[in-house]
Amino acid sequence: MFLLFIRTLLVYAAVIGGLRFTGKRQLGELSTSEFAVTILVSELASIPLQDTAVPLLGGIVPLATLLAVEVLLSYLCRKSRRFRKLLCGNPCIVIRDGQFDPQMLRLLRLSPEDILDGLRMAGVSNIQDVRYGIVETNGQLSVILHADRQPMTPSDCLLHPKEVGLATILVSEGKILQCNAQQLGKDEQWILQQCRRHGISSLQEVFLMTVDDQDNLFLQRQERAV
Amino acid sequence: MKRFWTAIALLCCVIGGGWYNLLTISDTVSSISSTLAQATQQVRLGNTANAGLLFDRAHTLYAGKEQYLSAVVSEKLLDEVRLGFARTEQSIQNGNAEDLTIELADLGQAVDDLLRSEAVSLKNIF
Repeated sequence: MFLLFIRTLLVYAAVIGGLRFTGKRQLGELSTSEFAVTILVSELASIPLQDTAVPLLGGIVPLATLLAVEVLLSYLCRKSRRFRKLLCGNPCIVIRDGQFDPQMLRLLRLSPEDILDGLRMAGVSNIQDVRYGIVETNGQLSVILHADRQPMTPSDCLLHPKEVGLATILVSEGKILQCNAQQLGKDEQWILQQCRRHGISSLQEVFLMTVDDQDNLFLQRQERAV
Repeated sequence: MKRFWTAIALLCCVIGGGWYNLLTISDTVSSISSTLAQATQQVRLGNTANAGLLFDRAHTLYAGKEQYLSAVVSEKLLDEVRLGFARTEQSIQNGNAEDLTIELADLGQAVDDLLRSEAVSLKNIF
């Protein structure tokens, strides 16, 4: 068991080291350590299930080790910038004022085509519209456009639209969600009153009722079975 | 922060459990191995009856720990040990000293493998 612990730590270090070595190209939305844990956990969990001759502890001990180490690493990342840089790397600017940074592209082993792919996915067709293009630590491309290429917002036109509230479910399929109702300071009496105002006599007839923090109410009746 | 301390506690449990496991297996294996070594010595001295008693003692020691071993050691290794005990028992009944010495040596090897598979060594790690 102690051996498994050491082996797990070594495999973990090797996978993270390997992924850091291969760079951002291999990563999706997960950070390096999360990605390593994800692929290791899926493999480890299956070992004692596939082979009953392997004790269950043979799967649980490495799993517990990995998850605990992952939590500790994320804590260390939060505490130490240097450690975070070591484990996750830094965001890299690949486009500056509409121009590729060839040196950075070489360093990341990305081609201009890869970046153009990312720009198209971000809805940008012309590289000259881009002020900064940044490859984030999780491998995603963030695009910051020049000010005159940014989409127009109501504040640009000196408009002040009404705030949109965050909708919270109060009744779902005839049942009151007490926790949400308490958070919004509503009680069953208030809910029934709103139902009656919309021509609904009982909660059983309500499929969904939501209220946002601006007190905007949405109510949908239950479909009757034919 | 609660999660952090849970992770620390989890790691402590794993390290502590691993250490306890290593000590338990080491104790079990060394006591069985020394009993088997004494049995081999008795066979060499021509005292098969005494060897049989020592073998029974080793078997009892193993049976007492078998449940724990099943939870932490691969069944393949335990099967080797069970097979070794069965063969040695058969040799004791046959009364052939030469066969018994060989079977006791094989059994000792199988028992030692339990510790070898768990030992923290470079060979095992890599």
